[in-house]
Amino acid sequence: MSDFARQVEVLRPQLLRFARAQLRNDAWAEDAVSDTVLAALEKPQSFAGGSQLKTWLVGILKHKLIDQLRRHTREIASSPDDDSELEDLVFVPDGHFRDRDQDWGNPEGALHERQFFVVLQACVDHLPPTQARVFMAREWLELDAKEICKEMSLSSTNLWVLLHRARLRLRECLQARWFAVAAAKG
Amino acid sequence: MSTIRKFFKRSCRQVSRLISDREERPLGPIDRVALRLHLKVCDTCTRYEQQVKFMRRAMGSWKNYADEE
Repeated sequence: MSDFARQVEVLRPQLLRFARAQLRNDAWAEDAVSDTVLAALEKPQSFAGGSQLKTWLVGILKHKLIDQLRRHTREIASSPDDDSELEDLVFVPDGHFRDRDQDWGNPEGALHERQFFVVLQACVDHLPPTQARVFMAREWLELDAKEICKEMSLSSTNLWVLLHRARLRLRECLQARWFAVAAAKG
Repeated sequence: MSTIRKFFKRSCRQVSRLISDREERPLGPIDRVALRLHLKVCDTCTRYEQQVKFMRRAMGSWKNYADEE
């Protein structure tokens, strides 16, 4: 095994973690990562060396993830999340937020703490599968709404509802696992 | 409450959806006014608006963190 192939193989677990977070299906994630590694090993000369090897591989992986979403469109579309109770948990019947005191103060400091990103990833991992796929496609793959609708066979309205619910869920999770904990520590 | 204010009145539940949608599409003129009027008087929704923006920044930073990890 060449030195380059060894370096690529070392990064495989991290690529798999990204792929699982996006696709929420182990088999599809394995396929996407295998395709990525294969593409990298077939054309090592494409890696200019100017960027980190991992950054280059993640760039390839993003295309492979979109391929997987495209390939499994029908399965994704036929398994919508049943998340209708979410808004009843977040809002009281008159439409006000149930918990009005979620004050995050100045949250920017969290972005300099490694542990915050561990919590953020755990919260994303806890999103229902379809919400997670569209949220990651929007925020991590940086696809625009039109592309996501096309690749995942969603209507615009459906996409907006999914993103809205993902944001509500993420807020609840970050509040419980990070900001409330930080506030309790004083 | 005036008829006009009644016309633009929205609940926090509806406004939270508008705050999220605004990240994805331009809101219509009525929704824009309704959102602005609501945010003037509702601290919770103003905080939610800031939290949505923070979560988007956090996801952007998460990418960099993941690259450097």
